[in-house]
Amino acid sequence: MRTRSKIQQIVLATLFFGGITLWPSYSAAQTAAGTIISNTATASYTVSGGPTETSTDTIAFTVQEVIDVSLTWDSVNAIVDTPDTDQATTFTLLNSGNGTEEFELTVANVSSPTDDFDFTLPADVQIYIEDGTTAGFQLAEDTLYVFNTNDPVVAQGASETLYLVADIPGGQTHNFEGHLTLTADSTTVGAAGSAAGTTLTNLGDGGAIDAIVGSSQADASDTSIYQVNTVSVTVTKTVMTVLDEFGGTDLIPNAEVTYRIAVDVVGGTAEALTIVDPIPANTTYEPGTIQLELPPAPSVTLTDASDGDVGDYNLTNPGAVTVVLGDTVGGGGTINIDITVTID
Amino acid sequence: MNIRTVSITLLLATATGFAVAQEQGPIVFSNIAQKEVVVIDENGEESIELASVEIVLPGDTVLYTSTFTNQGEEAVSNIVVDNPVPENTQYLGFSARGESTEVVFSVDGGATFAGAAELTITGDNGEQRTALPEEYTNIRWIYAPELAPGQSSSVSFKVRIP
Repeated sequence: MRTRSKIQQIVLATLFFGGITLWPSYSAAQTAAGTIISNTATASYTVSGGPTETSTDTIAFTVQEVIDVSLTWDSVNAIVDTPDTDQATTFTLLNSGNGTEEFELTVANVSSPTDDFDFTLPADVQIYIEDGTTAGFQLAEDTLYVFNTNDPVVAQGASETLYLVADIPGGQTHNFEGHLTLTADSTTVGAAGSAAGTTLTNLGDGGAIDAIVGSSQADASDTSIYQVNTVSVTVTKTVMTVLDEFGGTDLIPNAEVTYRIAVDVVGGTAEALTIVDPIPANTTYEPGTIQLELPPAPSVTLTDASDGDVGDYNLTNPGAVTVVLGDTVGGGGTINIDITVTID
Repeated sequence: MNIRTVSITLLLATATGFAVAQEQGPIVFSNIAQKEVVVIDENGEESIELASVEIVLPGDTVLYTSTFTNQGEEAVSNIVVDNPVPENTQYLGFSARGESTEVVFSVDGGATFAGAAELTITGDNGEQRTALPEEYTNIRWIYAPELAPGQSSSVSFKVRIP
């Protein structure tokens, strides 16, 4: 990287030796740009009976800067509502060159068969830079990126965590995907997009060395996925009946309390839906009282064992009733799970 | 910065990566560094060519060649060439060459030398093991014959820039 103030000195040249130049691939812990490699050889010999020694002058060359970068989405879809606000996807920007380099960041909509909707740019998508305080995107903490104002400056081999933070348009269908591509370009003039091996004279780290465009062509991009989820699952818990040992309805020791967990799925299919209900403190589960009403079927009793039916007590989850509803299509009516406990 | 100033000075002095000894004596001794470049010809054949060290990057291989010429009136004997593996580089195994020479290496900065198979290093677990080429610190070529007036010979080795 070098400051932009010396643009007039730019000379573009491409390494070319009798054909196509193969570009080696670079690994971690590279020799830093600007490192001087020097060498002096010594020879000793005998002449006229006496030992003599001679050395060559020192020859030296300086390791130049290779500009390379990678940008990688963490492959975790953002599951979003429609509409929704401030939904983040996470990228890692790695300076894989051997000098300190500055990168400018841009975001774009994608056009692909699996991309169902676009975002309003630039209004609805911001780029944030992780500030290191708390892992993961924090709107209140992380740094809003402004193009060419706070371009990240990344040391050799170091990385930055970047976030795309998007507002999701309304009216999207369940499972629709919106794709966004984040691109990082080296700000060294003439680097981004140039052929690997392009020499940028005196534009290397510090300005005394050259910068060479590496195999990444000094720019990198990756695409993240926002996936709309319109399914909502509502779970409510209510006390249905109380029966004390005197035939009344007082919440006193030994009273039996039957409560109902009502599960409503709307807007699509809730996948792998499981209800886990820990038995409340100071109560004891009344064996054999798990009732499941899965409309339109009438209510059935589930055994406490982990067996052919979908419910159990104290097995899948200790001290809790577990009912595995599985993929549950919404709009089929309220699913009721009734459980009876005794007050200790 | 000071380092940068030094680097510029050195580069100016040795812009071609080439240096000749200043000392008086029958042996004129020179040293050159060249970068290996893989090229592909029209037929897709790969070959290695040598280029200047003007632009060297991590991953590159550099060839050092030291040439000694007897410009005196009488034969010179017992010629031994010593060359340290430059700092910030790694010796490439089996790359040391020299006609009529025995090549030995050092892993202790040139205090002791041995053949590649006999060189050992004490590993982290305290056990001796054979040294790896990238751990060599110095190379020594022992030139067996006498070098007659007017004759010259050369030795070479390669390093990788990590």
